[in-house]
Amino acid sequence: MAELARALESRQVTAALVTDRCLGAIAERNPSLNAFIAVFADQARAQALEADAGMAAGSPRGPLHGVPISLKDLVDVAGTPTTAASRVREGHRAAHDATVVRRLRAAGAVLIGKTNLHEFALGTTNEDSAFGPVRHPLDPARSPGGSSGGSAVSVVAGMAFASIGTDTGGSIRIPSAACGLVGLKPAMGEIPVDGVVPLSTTLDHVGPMCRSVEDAQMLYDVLRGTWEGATRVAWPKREDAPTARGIRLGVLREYFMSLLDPEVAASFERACARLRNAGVELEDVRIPHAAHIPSIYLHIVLSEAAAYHATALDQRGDEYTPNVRHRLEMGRYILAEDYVRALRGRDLLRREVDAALSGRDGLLLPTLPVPATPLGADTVRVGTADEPVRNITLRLTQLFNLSGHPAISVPCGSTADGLPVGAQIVGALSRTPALLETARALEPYLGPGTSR
Amino acid sequence: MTITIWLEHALADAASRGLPALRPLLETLARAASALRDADWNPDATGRVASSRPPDAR
Repeated sequence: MAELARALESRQVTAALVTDRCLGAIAERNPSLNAFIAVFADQARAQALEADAGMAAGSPRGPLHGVPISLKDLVDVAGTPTTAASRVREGHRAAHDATVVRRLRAAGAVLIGKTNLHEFALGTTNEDSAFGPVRHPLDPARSPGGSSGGSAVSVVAGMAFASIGTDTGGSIRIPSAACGLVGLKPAMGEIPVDGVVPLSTTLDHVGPMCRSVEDAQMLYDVLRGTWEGATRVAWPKREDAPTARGIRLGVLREYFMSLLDPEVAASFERACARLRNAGVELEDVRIPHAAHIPSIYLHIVLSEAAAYHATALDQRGDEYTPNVRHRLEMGRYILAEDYVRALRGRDLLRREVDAALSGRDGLLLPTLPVPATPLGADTVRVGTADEPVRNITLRLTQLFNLSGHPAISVPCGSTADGLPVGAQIVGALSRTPALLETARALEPYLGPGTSR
Repeated sequence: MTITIWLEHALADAASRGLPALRPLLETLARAASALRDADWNPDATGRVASSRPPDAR
């Protein structure tokens, strides 16, 4: 995407051409992959022509000028429905752009369409959607991960140059890892979530899904609002990655490594060896209360989701997909005293992540313990046991929604079958730009994704 | 309310609302709530320090 931005700026290509190519890829591949819920073909072509005219006149809007971007269909675009992949939202039409959409427009992005997701973002496989499941581009019998699965597929399949997803327990990082992309969950509260359908108000994050850390840096700057009201565009420069030598990372072991697919574990350990050879200092670290993460997460996410959905559950419960309805109903039985215990546990976990980061540039762990899971599977085999798909896919990401620390998934090789593996780097609170610099330094050593 | 009593009430309520499929989910929730109640970070009005019993760490 950064390369495209530079090519657009130097007028080697036109926004109209790249937008048409994306629309062509959608026409060709979306019928089988089901990544999009809505395609804004006419509007995108008009935005692209306007972008080309602006560039010809010497008045680019921002660093995404003319770049086709897709949006998870949880994000409001004025005048269009936000379906959240649910029949419950039938008849909705957004009155205003979400703040992140306003910022994308200010940076010059061409909005190509809205992508499919797990209904209301409450799931990690994209199977429970009023619009049907999204399919993995490398193996249509598998899930691309979720809940921002349509976003990931839109980028991998060339239907968009990047996508905006949301992440409440891993919904940006999980599909990014499963599909060989870079996915950033910024720090809690950095990117506005107004105009984004909530799942869990204290866990929700918005962030980019793209092909490189450099792309993530560009999009992060845009989503932070850097280009709103800017009068001059600073185009992304071609810069060498910062050196990896001397970077200090804590590698999370114990709980975080105790349930890993053998091929994921091998990919991760090979990446660690490459990092050591490059002069990165790796030390094992631990989160003492890690075993409590799932219980704490479950109580917070389901309580907050149930509060948002209670009226709709009572009035239109049959219109949810059964699995999502049942999980939301589960949240209505949580006692306030247990929610408060979970909040106290969350504070403790945040302090333990801070302690693990102390004196280090980041934490390192796999993103997803297993490769992309088969569609229709309730469990997957990990080692000698069958594990519930939902539990295993959230296992390594949900901690950083609880703690609020920024976390990025970067491709980290692939399995023998060619399915991508992702590594996660976690940074200090309020230091997302530093995390991105660290990730850019490490990216060449972690290993390529299949899409790059 | 103990977890046992809570679970009995929750299962009965779910059944009365025509949602028997909630049973396994509520049983999962009961295990998660038990883990939270047993955790060592909970203050106790008696002043005693809670004894920690970590959940299955797999």
